[in-house]
Amino acid sequence: MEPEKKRSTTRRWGWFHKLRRHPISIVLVFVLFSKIIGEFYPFSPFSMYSNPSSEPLRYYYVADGAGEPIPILWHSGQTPARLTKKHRAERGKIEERLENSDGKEQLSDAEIRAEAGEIVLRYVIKLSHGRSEKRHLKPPLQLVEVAIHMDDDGELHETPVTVANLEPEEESKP
Amino acid sequence: MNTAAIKKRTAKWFARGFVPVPVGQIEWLWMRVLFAPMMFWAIWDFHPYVHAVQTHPVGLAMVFDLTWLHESWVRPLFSGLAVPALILYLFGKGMPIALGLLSLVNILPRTLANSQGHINHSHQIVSVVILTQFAVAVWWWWRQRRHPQQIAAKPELSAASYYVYFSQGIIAGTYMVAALSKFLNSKGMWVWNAPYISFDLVKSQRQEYYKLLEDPALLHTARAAEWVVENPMLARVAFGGSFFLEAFAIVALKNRTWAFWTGIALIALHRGILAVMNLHFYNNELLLLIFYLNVPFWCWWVTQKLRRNAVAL
Repeated sequence: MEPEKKRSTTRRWGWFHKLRRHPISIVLVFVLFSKIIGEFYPFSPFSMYSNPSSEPLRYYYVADGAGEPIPILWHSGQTPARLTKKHRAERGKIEERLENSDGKEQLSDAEIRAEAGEIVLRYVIKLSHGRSEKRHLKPPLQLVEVAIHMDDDGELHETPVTVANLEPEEESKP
Repeated sequence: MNTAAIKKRTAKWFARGFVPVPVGQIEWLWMRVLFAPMMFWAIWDFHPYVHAVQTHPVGLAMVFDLTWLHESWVRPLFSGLAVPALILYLFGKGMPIALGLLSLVNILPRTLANSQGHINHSHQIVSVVILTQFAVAVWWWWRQRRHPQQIAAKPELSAASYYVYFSQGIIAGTYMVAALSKFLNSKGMWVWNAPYISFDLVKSQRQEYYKLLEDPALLHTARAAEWVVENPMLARVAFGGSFFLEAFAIVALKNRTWAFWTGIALIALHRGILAVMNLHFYNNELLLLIFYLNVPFWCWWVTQKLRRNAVAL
């Protein structure tokens, strides 16, 4: 490289070399590393609420056989927020399984939601059985999904749908 | 003022500060005294140990099976190991061993808890601060052996300066990565799309109700959400402020004054989120209180100031 060109390149990257030696660079590396590695405890990109959009937003709660909500935190130690995340994660797992089946196994969106919902219901039942007897959950149970959306006039609405039902005889399924 | 002048002034502002500063031994002791109970509580908490499976492994659980942490002997053992480690930490002795042990007994159970398909983000900040202090402890130990002349060249900068600087830096980093995620995931439109956070405001209020069904008022109108929908431009200004506060949290590293005011602003942000979304950020607030607000230092500073004035009078 010609000396003049080399000097110009050195000047252009001077700030980088200065920053590289500065202790603050550790913090910047941490930020980039956390973003790249994703959810790798204790690192996280903290991506909650990172993409607000007009798409309906869903949350879930657990109800008894008659559709009446039950205090799930008291029964299982889990919050509706965690069940919402769990349902999303289980849906992702089912979708991955369907993709890997090369089209041999096909499920509609409602069926995927129902299967994920049953897993969530069995999960809370299992957790409740690790607690005192009065907190034990038993089928029939429902998982209710509520979609929050906005109409054309800018008004907010909530639409509940039962996505999964767990009947008494189904409890023993693996 | 032209662009060149603004650029020059900005460069000058950033050129000063942002480096470790001398930290008094008492100041650092206070921080340890306040942080140690936080660590103990995080390790003592039984919640991370209730899971017998890891259906959605994250972190180390992707490599190792951590379900053995569910066994009944683990929690008493981990809590038992934490006690001597915390005593060493409080006395500032054997820091690499103490913080290494604390990192292990804190991170493993929390990794298992986050491997259930519902990731909880409230403890990460505590774990990364412990891990950071462990890294500083190992680095300082290595530096004492390999480069004692570097330490002797700057006697005013003890290990405490680096513990505090990097703890503050990593706390700022957690806010900055959240802002970076917002920017990238929304393709730069986060502030503009912020009125849609009204959906989240409704969701968090309802989720709060369905926990224990205690307060039926939470099933009715979400006032904050309505305000956001009715005042989208004001909402953009309000949420935009929080976005830029997160993105520029690194200004806390400039000096103690900036750390103090950044801490106040971030605690106010968390209090605001608690008011409208019922989301608690106790760990963040406590860490900001310990490492940013640094109340014992400011008490000492005010006392010194008053004493000097008294002498002058």
